[in-house]
Amino acid sequence: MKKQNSLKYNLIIALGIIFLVTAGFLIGFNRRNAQISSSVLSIGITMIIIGIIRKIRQSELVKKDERIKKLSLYGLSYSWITTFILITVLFWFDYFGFLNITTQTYYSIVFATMIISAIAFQKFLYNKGDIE
Amino acid sequence: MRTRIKELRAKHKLTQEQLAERTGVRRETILFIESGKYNPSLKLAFQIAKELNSKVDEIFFFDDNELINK
Repeated sequence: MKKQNSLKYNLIIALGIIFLVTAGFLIGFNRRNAQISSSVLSIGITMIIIGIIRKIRQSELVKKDERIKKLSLYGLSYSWITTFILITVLFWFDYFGFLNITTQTYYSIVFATMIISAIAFQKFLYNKGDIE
Repeated sequence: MRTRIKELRAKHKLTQEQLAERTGVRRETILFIESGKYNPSLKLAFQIAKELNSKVDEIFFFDDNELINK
């Protein structure tokens, strides 16, 4: 499994380098399309960084761990329910005029709740061990 | 659920890390299985049994009162 992963990460790094070289050519020969060049450059850099990090961490990271997979999914489900309850509460508070928030604030609250609750539930479940 | 993983691991001179690597899971998962906090899938149970040269029912077992629906 380690060999397969190592090959996969090498491939990601190689693709990243190809993207970087391509971006270099695009910047050098086609200066008008700056947006495309910078996008290709960003993709290349991201792929190289991800490839290197994964390669370094592969010994401690077993992605196919069934417990982590299961608990991650449970964490996301709990996070979804929490966000759903929050949206419902916000809707009725807004409906009855108890709360007056802008759409931007509303979105910010929902985004923050989704991310924070998912991380919190997953962390809690990882430490707990399993779900009965 | 109770297990004999720790005992069999010691017999085969395997660390949690080594058993985890051989079965494709994290060390923490082996730790939680050993302490009875996590019930592995049938596939993982068979993998562990294979690595420890034993049968599944020799490694994993329930007390009678654990099997009774409450």
